[in-house]
Amino acid sequence: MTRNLLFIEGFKLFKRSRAWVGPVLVFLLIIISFPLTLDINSDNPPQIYLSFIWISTLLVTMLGTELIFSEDFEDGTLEQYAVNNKLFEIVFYKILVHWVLIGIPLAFVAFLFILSLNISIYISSIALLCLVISNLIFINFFSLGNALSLKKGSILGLLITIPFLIPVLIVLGKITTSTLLGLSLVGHLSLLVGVMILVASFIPFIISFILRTHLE
Amino acid sequence: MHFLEAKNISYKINDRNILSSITFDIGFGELVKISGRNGSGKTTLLKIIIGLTKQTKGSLTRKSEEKICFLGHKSGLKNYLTVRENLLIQDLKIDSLNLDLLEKFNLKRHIDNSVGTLSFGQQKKLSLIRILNAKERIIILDEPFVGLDEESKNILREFMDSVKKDNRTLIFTSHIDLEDNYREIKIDD
Repeated sequence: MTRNLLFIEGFKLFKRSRAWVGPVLVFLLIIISFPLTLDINSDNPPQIYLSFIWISTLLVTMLGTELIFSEDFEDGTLEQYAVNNKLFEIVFYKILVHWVLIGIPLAFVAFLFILSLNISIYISSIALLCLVISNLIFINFFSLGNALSLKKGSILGLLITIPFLIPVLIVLGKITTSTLLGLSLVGHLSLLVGVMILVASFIPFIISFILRTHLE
Repeated sequence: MHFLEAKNISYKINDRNILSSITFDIGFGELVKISGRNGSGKTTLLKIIIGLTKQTKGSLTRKSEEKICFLGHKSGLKNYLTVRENLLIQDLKIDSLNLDLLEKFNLKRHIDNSVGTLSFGQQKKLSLIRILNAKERIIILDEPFVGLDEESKNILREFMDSVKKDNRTLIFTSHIDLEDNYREIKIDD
């Protein structure tokens, strides 16, 4: 049954291709246009590109999770899961499939973009690792925001959740600096992984509780 | 054996009484119709029974932790998926039983059409296929007869009879009078 639910959530998102191809295409357009706005003769430090990547992925994952619960809420699917206490499982799987179909592809597109800027493979790989981890954190928080504002439009919930992501952006910035200066990344990466584990474990519980209150 | 006991259940929203002191019990092998006018609180009572809503007064005891098969007002169907794919995501196989049901509901020719192209009645029939496949001992339906043609209503009635024979329980709401002899819980004032 558990495998079935995961398959069902994956299938639903996969068939709604606009929901996962759209954000990846938007991200692609943003990263293609960004270098065009810079003076190509100037020696732009990699830090600018990396900061730009962190912020863009943050915004694109926000876009990609906009409908994560609304469709199932509107058509009564969530109600059916809630009756048999399956909300936590569903929330967990929804976040997981959004990470696999949106978060990870975004990380790889960003990786290719960074490589194409003649930035070293070491820095690009660190960026890829950071994005894979941070995108799961972003998706969890934006899912929480969407759950909070399920009946009120997505903006309110997102305004509440974005401030929680600022520390993650700060850690990503620190990782960028440490990578460029050749310093140890163990501390910052461990912190990022720790936050990811905490967020991925607890936020689905909070979301399932919020969804249940919406269904009352 | 009773699986559900409700004593003096009341439900209030913003000082407006939706349900007032309702007492009943439901056992296995019963077909129970919750009846009442539009807005009388039938759906609210169902939501209290399935545990989605908490009553403001009274007690409700479920003596069994049996799984519940529930179909509310909303169908749970995905408009962007075909009939076949909707059955798949409801964990149903396209086997002879379901092909037969699709045929009876006149939906077989639409099997590869997206659900968004079907009428309300056709969507209702498709959502009922999940119920007709239900293995759970407790089935709860909100206004299952709405939008159905006579032929489909008869299929549903036959299913209800089979549920009773299997010593399972089916609770449903309806605001229309049915000729059939179900146990009725009236919640009109």
